[in-house]
Amino acid sequence: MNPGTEAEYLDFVAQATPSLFRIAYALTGRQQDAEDLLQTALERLVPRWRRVDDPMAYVRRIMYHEHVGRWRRWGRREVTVPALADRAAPDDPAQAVVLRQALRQALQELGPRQRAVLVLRYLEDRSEAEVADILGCSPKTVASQASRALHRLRTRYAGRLDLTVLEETR
Amino acid sequence: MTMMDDELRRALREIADEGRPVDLGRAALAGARRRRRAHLGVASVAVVAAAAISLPMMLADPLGTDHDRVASPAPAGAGPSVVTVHYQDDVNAPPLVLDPDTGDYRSVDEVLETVGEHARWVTVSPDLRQVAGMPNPFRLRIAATTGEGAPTVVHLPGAGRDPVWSPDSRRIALTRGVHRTQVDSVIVVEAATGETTEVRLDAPTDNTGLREPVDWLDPDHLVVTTVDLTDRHPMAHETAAASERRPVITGMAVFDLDGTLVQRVPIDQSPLAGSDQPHSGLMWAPHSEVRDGRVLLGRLPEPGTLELAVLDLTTGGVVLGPVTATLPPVTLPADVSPEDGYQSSARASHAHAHGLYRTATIDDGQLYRSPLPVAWLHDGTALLEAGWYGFDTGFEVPAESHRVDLSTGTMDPVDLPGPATSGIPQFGDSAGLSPQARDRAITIR
Repeated sequence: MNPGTEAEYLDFVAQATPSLFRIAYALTGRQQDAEDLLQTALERLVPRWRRVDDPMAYVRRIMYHEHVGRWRRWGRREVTVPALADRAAPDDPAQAVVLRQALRQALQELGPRQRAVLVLRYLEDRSEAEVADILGCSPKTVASQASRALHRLRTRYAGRLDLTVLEETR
Repeated sequence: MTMMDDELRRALREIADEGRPVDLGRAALAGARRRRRAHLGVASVAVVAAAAISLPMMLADPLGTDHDRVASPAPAGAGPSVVTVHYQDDVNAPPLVLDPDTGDYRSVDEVLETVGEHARWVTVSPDLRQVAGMPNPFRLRIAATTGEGAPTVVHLPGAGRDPVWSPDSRRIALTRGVHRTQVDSVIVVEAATGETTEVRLDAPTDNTGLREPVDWLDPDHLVVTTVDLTDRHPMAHETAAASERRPVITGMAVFDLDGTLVQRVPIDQSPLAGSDQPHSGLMWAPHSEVRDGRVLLGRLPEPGTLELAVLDLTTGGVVLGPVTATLPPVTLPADVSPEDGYQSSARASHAHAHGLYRTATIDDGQLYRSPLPVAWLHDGTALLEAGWYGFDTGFEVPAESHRVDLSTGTMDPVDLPGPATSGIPQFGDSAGLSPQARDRAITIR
């Protein structure tokens, strides 16, 4: 990279980092991992800087692929959210907060691919077709992943949060 | 839209907002330059060396006068093997590592003192005295398997993967590569000090690529798989997408710790080769299976069969086998949701081998694939550990494990002791255990 190109690249990184970092953090749930993930994707962009039409989309795609593939080998998952307090009573005004805590914990326990699908669908508001394109899989697989992820979110903590009741009563 | 959708959106936004954005532009540029230097280093040296090295390398005694460094003992040691690392059924639980003094297993996160994160790629040194693991791709932690003393935290010069111990338990090699399975360079870590050296491998230029796994031939040499970059074929199934096609494995290459190519071992000289060899799915045993200059190889020539052989890396000749074993049919107890409409009756009904993978068709029509790992046990047998990975759905399910007698090809089911069913357990020679621990350790006999 010549100095002019390098300046362009650094300018892009400075502008894009806030939104890209949000995705990286949503995927990993940890500051250090988010930094590693984003840096890896940005490194991959450097040699293609002149040839990539949409660097934001390129980096985003690399991050999703890297996140899904990075730890595929063992399929290990990470839990960093502390255990929840006892479930709040149904009429407790703090229940929504407890619910989100539970969701966060459940999200941390999802596999990387399922988490990536949910981040794309619910944080980035992507369609199933767009998610499929970004992750390089079929829309059916996206639907399956999303369905399974939501099922896990519902069932793993159903006893503690009674999500079904909550959905029906609100 | 359900309340669940709203809450999920809100939770994800909250999580995303918690990150503290860091300007990584200059760090990324520096990292990209390191990668480029590695590529250029490989290319330029290889161009100069190609004419002098590539052809004669196949014919000459590659290790020269130091040939005796590679011993020629019996195919494998005589002692029983011991499971050194367990991967637990609960995917949220950390692996367990063997204490060679007591025979007890303890959490590797406790031994490596990984606070708030699990170590991955956990590997125990051949002398059973040290364990290494990676809490993330840029950190390696090394500690005594007894749990004594503070762990050594190694800051890697870049993202590494697949740590593997040298036979003398002094060093650890980690793979670096832009793409999965590709080897651009190797990070060598001195276990005692944590000092790192990035070894750029002088790749041959005859359209040869370097691929995982990286292993040690002896304490001074690394072994890497070579592939033909001009010949790609589908490994998993006939309808494999282009991205799933893999270069054909052509053999192995030996490098010294300066990255100099000192030997190539073409697979096509071995009896395992045949006219259809490129499509037969030749594979390595997994990590640390190079023993005394020999390597355990396997291939799946046709559905339901497995061929294993031991190859001498100094001569390229087969010293044991090949033996043919029949893979057992497998029924997979898939742990999937019965309510999502896609996996309503998920259960493997058929399994067969094709290429590098065993595949199973689940009732919902999805294809599940497993890389069929093989471990070389110290009693001279091989262990097939069947942890299945749903490639499209991202979960693992346990299946049976079998042991193969390398002299006869006989295959018998074996129950892996302890909780190791969701990953590939690692094995060591129990000769390194204290007498007390030997009595208590779980062994595979």
